[in-house]
Amino acid sequence: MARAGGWAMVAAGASLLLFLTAAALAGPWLAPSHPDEISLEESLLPPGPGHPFGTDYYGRDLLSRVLAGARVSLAISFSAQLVALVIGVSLGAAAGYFGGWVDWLVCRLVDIVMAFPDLLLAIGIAASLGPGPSSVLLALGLVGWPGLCRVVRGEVMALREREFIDAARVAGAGDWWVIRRHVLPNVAGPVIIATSLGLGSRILQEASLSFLGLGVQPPTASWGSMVHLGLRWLSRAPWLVVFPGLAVALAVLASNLLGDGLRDVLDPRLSD
Amino acid sequence: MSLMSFENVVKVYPALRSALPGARRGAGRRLAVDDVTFSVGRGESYALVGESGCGKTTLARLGLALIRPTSGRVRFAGADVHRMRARELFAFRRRVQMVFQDPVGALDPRQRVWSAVEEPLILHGKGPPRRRLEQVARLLEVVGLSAEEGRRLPHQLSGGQRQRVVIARALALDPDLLFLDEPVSSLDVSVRAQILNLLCRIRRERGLGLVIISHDLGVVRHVADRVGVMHAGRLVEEGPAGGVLASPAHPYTQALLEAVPVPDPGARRPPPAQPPPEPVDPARGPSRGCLYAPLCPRAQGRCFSRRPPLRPLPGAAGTPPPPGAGPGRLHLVACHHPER
Repeated sequence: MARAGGWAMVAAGASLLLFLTAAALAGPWLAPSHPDEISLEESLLPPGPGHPFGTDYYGRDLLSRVLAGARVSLAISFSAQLVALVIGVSLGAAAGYFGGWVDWLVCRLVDIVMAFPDLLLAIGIAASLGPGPSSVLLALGLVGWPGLCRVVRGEVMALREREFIDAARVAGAGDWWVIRRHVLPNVAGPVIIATSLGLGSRILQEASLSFLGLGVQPPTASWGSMVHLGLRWLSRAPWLVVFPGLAVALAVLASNLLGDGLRDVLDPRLSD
Repeated sequence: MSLMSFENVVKVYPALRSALPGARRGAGRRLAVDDVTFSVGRGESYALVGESGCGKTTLARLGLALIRPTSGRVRFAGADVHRMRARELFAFRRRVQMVFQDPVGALDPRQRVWSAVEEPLILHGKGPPRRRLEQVARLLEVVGLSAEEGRRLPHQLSGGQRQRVVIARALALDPDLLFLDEPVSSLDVSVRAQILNLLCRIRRERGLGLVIISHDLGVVRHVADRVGVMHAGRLVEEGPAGGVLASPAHPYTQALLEAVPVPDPGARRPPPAQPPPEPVDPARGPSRGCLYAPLCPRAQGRCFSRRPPLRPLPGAAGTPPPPGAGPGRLHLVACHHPER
């Protein structure tokens, strides 16, 4: 029962995420016009046949801009989550496997990062690196790893007690071999779950940071900066906020569905 | 010439750190192995028996250099196992293998059978992939697994098949000494006999030394040349399997043998003179005297105050040691009042 529901969530989340990614990649061909093309006589047109999502103050086609924004927002969030994945898995595996002072050090590092509100820390890092997509990417990656790290550390600590780890040692395996061949493959499930759940947070955080003007700079579109720009016209042209906001919500929903579904499907503790 | 020898080996597990303030320092330390000395010869089959928790598995882990002893040493072919450099340890790993107690836990759930058997061959650089796969096929055949079963994952196998995989893997490197931790306790009786016969055959064919850890005296009788009886981390009796099992001298060994159910009700033995032994917590037992004294019907004053050394049974049982036989052939017992 839980499994069937899990698979449905995985299917829904994955197809939605795939759809958004495909739309982002195909954006330049799908878009009715260039996202930065200004046409002042078409300022603030409501959604209609010529402009399915309407236009903004400068007469730029909103659909084209949402598609262009998808490229930027998804690329940054995906890469940021990749950075978080690499840091979280390596530190978590090292802490869980070696224990002792390595574990102590990693845990204190996790404590420090988690002591700050994620967004505040990301803003701090991004601001100190200077505005721009690469600093946002790095900031989000540096903020996003502790959750994964904890998951991996716990799983690895439990795995260490399993006899097959000793069996590998007796067969002559060294630490690196044991980690690569026996530890990491066995934490893949929880890591995949935590990664897709984390992706949702990364998308939301990327939107927040670019809302605050820390991401890509105008005129390049991103979902967060489009919402920011639209706020000024909220009462006259609500579509300026609604469409990019909807895009963010859909992307977050998709990755959360995927993560929760995968948890139902993969986590043996939830299945019989 | 002994292949592996344990010399006054002691292993103390530290107490789990208590979160409660004021908990006594050192409380909860567990003396898992308490001054154990024994050796296993080339091609010999040595059985360690005793109730669960008496330190048998800890001894095996010490012998495999998976954990370090608190004091004492373990030698393999003369070299201290716990002071080996990486290169020596790697060579040692090829020669000493282990069949783990729990065939479910001893196999990586994501590793297919052939891959698990091939792994030691890869690690020790045994030939190109093609040769290795031939070798895997041969090993699977030796333990009686089909090629089809070789492609399965551990959870797709029965308990007996898994145990065969573990054995095939342990034999892959053609070791000189094999530790077997309860090799058949998880198997049903019919499979048990098959596995035991398999082990006996391989032992004959390859001149393999065995250290069998078991609480099943039937298994011990079947495969062991020599038996060591452990109680609460100490070796209390040791000797040729026939001698120890037929005429046990230590009251604990006697109780252990009496506790074995008799399969034929017609041949019922007289009821045991005492209840079967209760497990003794080594941390709480009398640290100075004999740890079996509180349960022993023959215990006297000095049993509680002086630890009995492991020494030859006075008037060594029945068969006189054959000329040229080492001390390993003797029947030893750690008791102030051994019974003949």
